[in-house]
Amino acid sequence: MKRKKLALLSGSIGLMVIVAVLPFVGACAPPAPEEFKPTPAPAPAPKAEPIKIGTLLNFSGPIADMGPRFLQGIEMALEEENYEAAGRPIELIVEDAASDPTVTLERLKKLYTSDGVNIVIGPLMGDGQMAVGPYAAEKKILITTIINGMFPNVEFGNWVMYPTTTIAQQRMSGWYVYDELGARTIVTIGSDYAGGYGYIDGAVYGFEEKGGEVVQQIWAPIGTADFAPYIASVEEADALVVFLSSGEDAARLLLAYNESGRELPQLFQLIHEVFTPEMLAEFGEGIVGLKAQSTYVWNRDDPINNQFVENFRAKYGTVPSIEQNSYTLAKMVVSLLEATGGDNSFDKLWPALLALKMDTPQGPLSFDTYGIALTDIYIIEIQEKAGDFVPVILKVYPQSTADPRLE
Amino acid sequence: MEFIISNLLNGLSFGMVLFLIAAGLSIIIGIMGIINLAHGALYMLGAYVGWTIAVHNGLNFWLAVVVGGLAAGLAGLFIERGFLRHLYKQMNEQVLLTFGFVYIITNVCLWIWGGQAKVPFTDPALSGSLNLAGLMYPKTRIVVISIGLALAVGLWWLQDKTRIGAMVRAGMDNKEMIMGLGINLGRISMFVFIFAAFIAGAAGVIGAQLWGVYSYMGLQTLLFALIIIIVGGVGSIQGALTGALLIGVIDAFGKALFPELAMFTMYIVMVVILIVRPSGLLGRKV
Repeated sequence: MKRKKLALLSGSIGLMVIVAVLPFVGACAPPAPEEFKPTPAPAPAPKAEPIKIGTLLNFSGPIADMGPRFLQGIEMALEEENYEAAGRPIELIVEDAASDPTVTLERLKKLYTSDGVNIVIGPLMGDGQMAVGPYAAEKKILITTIINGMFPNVEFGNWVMYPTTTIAQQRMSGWYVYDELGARTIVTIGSDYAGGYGYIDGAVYGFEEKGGEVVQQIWAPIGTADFAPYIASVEEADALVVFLSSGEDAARLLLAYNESGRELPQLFQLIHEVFTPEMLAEFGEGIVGLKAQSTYVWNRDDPINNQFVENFRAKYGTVPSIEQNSYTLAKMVVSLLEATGGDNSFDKLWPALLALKMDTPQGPLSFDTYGIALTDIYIIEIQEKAGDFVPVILKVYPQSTADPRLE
Repeated sequence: MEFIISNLLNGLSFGMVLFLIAAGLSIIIGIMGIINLAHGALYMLGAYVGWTIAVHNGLNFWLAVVVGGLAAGLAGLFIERGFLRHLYKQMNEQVLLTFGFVYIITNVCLWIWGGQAKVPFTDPALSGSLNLAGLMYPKTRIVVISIGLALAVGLWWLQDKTRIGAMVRAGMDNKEMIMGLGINLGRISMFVFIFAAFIAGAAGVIGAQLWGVYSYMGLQTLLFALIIIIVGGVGSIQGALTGALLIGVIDAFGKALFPELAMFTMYIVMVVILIVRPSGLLGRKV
């Protein structure tokens, strides 16, 4: 009994000591850089000093499937460059944004203060981008979106908005629904988060520019288990424009749509890439005829894209989809570093970004003066070809993704 | 009228999936007094195993239901025999342990099946809709409603009308007395736990007809199950069924009529029940 008490006492004391010492451990750590100081370019840094590139990807939470896929794209791009740029080695530091804005900001702070990173690929989610915006701007971190970005961050002047902003990208969807589908009224269903509003607002922006009318808007929580009640409440319209942030949500909505037994407006989906090629195969005939907006189409016949798809398939055994985005972003970072002679200071990287012109698997890439990418936008339809369910391009809007609010 | 019937059926089918998730957990918490927070993760494990059988290997859907249940039952056996049997009546330790298993099972599933979601799947014979007096309604949802009702009747019979059900209930009321009568309560507890895990795993495959399979469903379904148990009452199959159907129907009409409140509808019901009737609608006093 006495021994037990003693053990308890010593355990408690040990715990108290650890708690008391912890703050000092932090205090003894090397001080965080207060402000990023650009190196006087163009002299390249010594070879031994690596350039650190950070990533904020989602490996847990509702879109945990996307983190590993984006990482595949980044790793493939850097392997092709032998993890080198302008003679300097590249070190990749991967962090889990956990689909949580608070965690995303914490991880960005860790990347900057502990790892000394000032180039970051990610975060994906709109709310995460909004959370890290002010901090990334204050520390002059060159930071990228992965599947479009939140417009308010454009003002900070340090964001690479790839493939563009949410509204700029989906404006063409609105045009297509009006011009090509002949719709004059639409109902929208969107994921209830910042990015969801951005995408739907973009399609509505383009649709209303043409003179169309939105008759109903429905916002569904991310991770909605059953979409049947939403589908049952869809009002009469010419088209149903949908953006859902994850493949599983989009799959459940499509199932509810197909099984509703009602005469429903024609479905048009924003960002068809939420469905992986494996998901398209699992859907089978249930997805044939779905029209959607797409940023990247893996089977688009183009020499750069064909080579990328072949290499990707050889490495990962499947065709790429959203992995193209992170692949291109990693290639873009390497190109910027090559352009600055290996100088990774923000003040050198940003002008290099604005001057950059690249041919990518997605298509030609350049940037406007705000750091917003100008890329091609595709409208596709899922069709069955030789037993496979593949996207077929119906229309291309070439490099037309300038944000309309900056015109 | 079509709007009301269709949403009523949507609510019933959603509620039945909730019942399938909550039924096993209700038995474990209410009758055995074990807080098993890994129940949702067992549901997910069953769903993934079922997907492997039915979609990846193209085998029979009902075989997938059984194998999914067996996989979860096996995991349940491991958790109960390896850990929980040492922690009976230690609620805090049970919570910490089983919540740890949520993360372990989730990460094992991510490791084996990856993070990509699996599309809802079913038996080919159940694709399409049935004509219910002019209303076309998906066959899968009708099957889910039927299975839920059959399970509810079966569990009620097992719990209230059989000798083994009486032994389990008596064991929880007075453990020493029942052991004094020569009944091996440890073995009974083990079988009940495995049976509840089996139901969770099989429910995962049945529910995958509507929800598909994805990597964070372990925590999501756990939350659903806890809400159902709070609303329906702990330890009562009738309570779990009532709670699940009530939540399902209110959720369906809430989404259809007040979509902007969809995120909160379930919780509003739960809060009201906690205020008005803290032991749940049909709760059993433990």
